[in-house]
Amino acid sequence: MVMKTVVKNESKIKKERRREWKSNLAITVIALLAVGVFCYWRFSHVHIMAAREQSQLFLWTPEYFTERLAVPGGIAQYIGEFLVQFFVSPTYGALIYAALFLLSWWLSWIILRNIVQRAAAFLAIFPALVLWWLSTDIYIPMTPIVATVLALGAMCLYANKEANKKETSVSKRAEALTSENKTVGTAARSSSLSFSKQLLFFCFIAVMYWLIGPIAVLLVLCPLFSSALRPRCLISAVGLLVFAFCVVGSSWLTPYPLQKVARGIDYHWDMPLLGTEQEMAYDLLVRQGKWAKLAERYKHERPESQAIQNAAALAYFLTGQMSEGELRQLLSSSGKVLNSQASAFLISEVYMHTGLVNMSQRAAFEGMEAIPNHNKSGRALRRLTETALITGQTDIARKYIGILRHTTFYRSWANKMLPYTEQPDRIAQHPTYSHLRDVYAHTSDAFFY
Amino acid sequence: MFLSCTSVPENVSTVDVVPAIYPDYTSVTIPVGIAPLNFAMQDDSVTTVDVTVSGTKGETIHVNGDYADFPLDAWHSLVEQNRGGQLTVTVCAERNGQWTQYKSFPIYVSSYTLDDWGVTYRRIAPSYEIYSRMGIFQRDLSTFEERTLLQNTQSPGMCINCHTSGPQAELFHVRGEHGATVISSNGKVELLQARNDSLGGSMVYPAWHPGGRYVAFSTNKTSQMFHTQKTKRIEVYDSSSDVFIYDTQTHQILRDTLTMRLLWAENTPAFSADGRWLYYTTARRQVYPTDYDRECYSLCRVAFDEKTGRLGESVDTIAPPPTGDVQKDSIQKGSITWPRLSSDGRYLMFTRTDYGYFSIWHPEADLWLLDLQTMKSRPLDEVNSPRSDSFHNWSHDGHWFLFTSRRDDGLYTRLYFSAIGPDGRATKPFLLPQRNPKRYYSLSMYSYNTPEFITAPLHFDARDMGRRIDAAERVPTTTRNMYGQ
Repeated sequence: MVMKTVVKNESKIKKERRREWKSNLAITVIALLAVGVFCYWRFSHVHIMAAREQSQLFLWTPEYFTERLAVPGGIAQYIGEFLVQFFVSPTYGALIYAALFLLSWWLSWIILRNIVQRAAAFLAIFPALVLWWLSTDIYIPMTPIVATVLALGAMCLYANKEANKKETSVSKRAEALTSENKTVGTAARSSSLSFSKQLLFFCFIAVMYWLIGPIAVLLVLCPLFSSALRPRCLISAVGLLVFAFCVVGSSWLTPYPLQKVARGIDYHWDMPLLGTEQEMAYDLLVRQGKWAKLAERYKHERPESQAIQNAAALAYFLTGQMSEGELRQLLSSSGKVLNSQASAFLISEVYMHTGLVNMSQRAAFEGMEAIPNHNKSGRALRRLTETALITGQTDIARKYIGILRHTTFYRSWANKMLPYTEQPDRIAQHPTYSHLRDVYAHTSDAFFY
Repeated sequence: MFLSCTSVPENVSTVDVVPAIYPDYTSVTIPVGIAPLNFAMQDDSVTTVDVTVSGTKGETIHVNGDYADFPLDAWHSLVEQNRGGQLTVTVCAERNGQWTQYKSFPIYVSSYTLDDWGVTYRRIAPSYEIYSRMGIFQRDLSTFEERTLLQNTQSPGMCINCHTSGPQAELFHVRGEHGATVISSNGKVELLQARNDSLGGSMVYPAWHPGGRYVAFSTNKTSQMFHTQKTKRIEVYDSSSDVFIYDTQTHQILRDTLTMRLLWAENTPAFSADGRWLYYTTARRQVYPTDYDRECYSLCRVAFDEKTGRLGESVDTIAPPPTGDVQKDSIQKGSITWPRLSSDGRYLMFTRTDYGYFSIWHPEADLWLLDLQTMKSRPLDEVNSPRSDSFHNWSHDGHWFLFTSRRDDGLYTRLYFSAIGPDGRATKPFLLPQRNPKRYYSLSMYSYNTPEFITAPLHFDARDMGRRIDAAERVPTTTRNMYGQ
C-alpha cells in the first residue's frame, strides 16, 4: 500500500515537472517571439511605424474622444491612435507592438486553457502571430488589433478557471439544494440568477460591439468555456442574433453604409492612397537627413516613383553629385507626383529643402487629405505651420499651433513656435526659416499644376 | 465628488475700452430667435468672465464662467423682449486674480424677423485637389443643433457639392465614380446622369426658378493651377463654361445660343425672385495660364418665360467689363460673380474680384450691392474685410443675408450674417453662433461652403441616398435646342 502511494506520488511529481517544463518552454518561445516582433519593427520596418504615426493627429480633447465614441469600434480606434502616437519614437513603437503580441498571447492562453488544457500555451501563440501578421499590412490600422485584444480580454472575464470552479460548485450546491428540498422558490431563484446572467451577457455583447466593433462577435464563443452560460448552443445563437441586430441597427445611426459597418468602420483602409512601402522608406530617409544612404539605395534600386526620383536628385545635390541647375531641371511638377500620401509627404520635404515653400505647403496639405480614414496629421500640421510662418500667414500658423498644443509629442515644438506668431519679425532670426523666407520673397511667381 | 467654484468679481478695476472678444459680437445686429451669441475673451490668459446682458426694454441675463455661455431660453426671452431695441453687454474678466471691467457694448435687436428656420452648408477642408471628409449639414439658427444631411462616408470616395434648395426641392451633385446630379422634388428623388455628352460636361452651379420646375445650371470645364510664390494659393479657372435651363418635368436640357456663345464663358446663373429674369455672368475667354488675370466677368440678364421655358430675344448687360483704366465708378474694374437677388426684387448682391470668378481664393473678393431701382452699385464697406468675403445668399424675407468669409485667418471659411436696413446700409455681420465658439472654431479644420437659408428642416434619408448613389441607375437627360424656335 505504501509502495503504491509512493509510486503514485512520484508519477504525479513527474507529470507536474513535465507540465512545468512545457510551460517554461512555451514562455521561452513566446518571449523569443516577442523579441523577434520588437526587432522586426525597431530595425526593419521603422518606416511603416512612421507612416502610421503621420496618418493621425491624436488630441487630448473631449471633442476628439466623443467623435470616436460616436461610431462602433470608436474606443478601439481611440486606444489604437493613443498607442500609435508613440510611434514617433521607433523604440516605443516596437515595444508597443511587442507588448500587444505578448498580451494577445496571454489572453488567448487564459481562454484556451479552459478548452484545451494541455497545449493551451502553445496554441495561444497562433492568435498572437495572426495579429502580428495583420499589423504588417499598412492598410490595416491599429484599430482591429486593439479591438481583438480587447475582445480577448472581454472573453477572459468569462474564462476565469477559478471563477468557473466556484461557479460550478455553487451551481452544483444549488442543484443539490433544489433536488433535496424541491421548493419552487429555490428553483425560481436559481433560474432567475441564471437568466439575469444571460441577459447581462447579451447586453455585454451589445456594449462591446459599440466599443470595439464587429470583432465583438468573438464573445458568442464564451459559452464554450463558461459554465454560467447554459445551454451553450442557445446562448451562442441568441448572442449572435443580438450581435447582428447591433450591426444592422448601428448602420442607421452612423453615416456609413451597412457593408462598412459590418466589416468594421476603421478596420481596413479602403482608399488606396497611402502609397508604397518603398516611398515610405525613402520618406523616412529624407526626414532623417540620411542623404548618402538614400543616394546609395537609389543607385541599387532605381524605383519608378517620381517622388523618390525627386528625393534622389536632392540627395545627389546635397552630397555634391549634382549641380543646383541640374536639380531644378529634374524636379517634377507636382501634379504628377502627388498621387499618394507617402509621395506627397516625401515631395513636401524635397520642396522645402529646395526653397519651394508654397509647393511644400500644398504637398503637405494633399498628403493630409489623402489619409484614408479622414484623420488629420501631426506631421502635416507641423509642416503647414512652418510654411504659414514663412509666407507670413501668421493667423493660420497660430491656429495650427493651437491644435498641436493638444498633442503629446508636437506640443513642445508648437510652444516654441508660438512666439513667432506673436512677433512675426523674429522669423528673420530663425536659422532655416529666415533663409526660406528670403527665397520666397525674392523668387518670381510661377504656376505649378 | 468634485465641487466647482466660480470666481466672482472683486476689487474690480475699470477700463474705458470695449473688450476684445471672440467672436467679435460688439455692435452687431441680430434677429429675434437667433441662438445665443456666446463668446470668450480673445486673450487666453483670462480665466473667468462675468457677463451681464441687459435689455433696454427689460430683462437681464448674468453668466459667469470661462466663457460667456448664455442659457438658451433666457437668451430667447431677452432678445424677444427687446425686439427693435438694444442689449447692453458688460464684461468683467479675471486675469491672474485681477478683475477688469470693460466698457459696455451694444448688441442691437433688429425689428426685421428672420423667418427662415436655419441654414444648410457644406463643410469641407480648404484643400487643393485631394479631398477627405465632407458633408452637407443643416443647422437650426435658434439653437446650436446641427444635423447631418449627407456625408461622403455614405458612399466612399464621393464628392458632394453645389447643394441648393428650391421650392420644396433640393439639389446637389455627386462627383466621383458614382457621379450624379441628385434632385429631390416634392418627395420624389431622381439621380440624373452626371454628364451629358451634348453639353460636353456636367451640370455645375445651379439656381432654382421660383416656380420649382426649372433649374438654371452652368456647365464648366474647371481647372486649377497653383502659385509658387504668392500668398494666393490657387487659381480656379474654366477653359469653357455655358449656362442652360433644365426642365425637371421633361428631363430636358434647354440650350440657347444666347447663353452658350462661342469664345465666351457664361457662368453663375441666378433667377430673379419673380422668375421673369435670368441673371448670369459672362466673360470673353482668355488664354491660360498667361492671361489668367484678364478674365473679367460682367453681369447680364435675359428674360425668361416660365410657360415655355424659353429665354428672351436679347441680353442686357447690367454691369460692363473693364474698359481700360480704372474709372471713377470702380465697378468698371474687376470681375463680377455669384449674382443673388433679394426676394423683394430690390437688390442684387454680387461678389467682386480683380479677375476670375472663384472668389473664395481671392483675398481681395468683396461683397457689392446693386440697387435695382436706381441701378447704382456700391461695395458693402460696412461688411467687407481685408480678406475674402464671398459666396452669399438672401433670406426668404429679403432682409437678411449670409455670406462666407475668410476674415478670421485667411484660409478657413466661416459663415456670417447681416441685414440690409431701410436705408440700404448693412449691419455689422455676426459669426454663426456656437456653444463654445472660440474652442469650436479654433479646433475646426473645415470650411463652410455654399450656404443657404432654409425655411424648414429638411428630411433626408442618408442611408437610402448612399445606396442609390452606389447603384448604377440614373435618369438620362436629353437636349433640346431652343434657338431658332
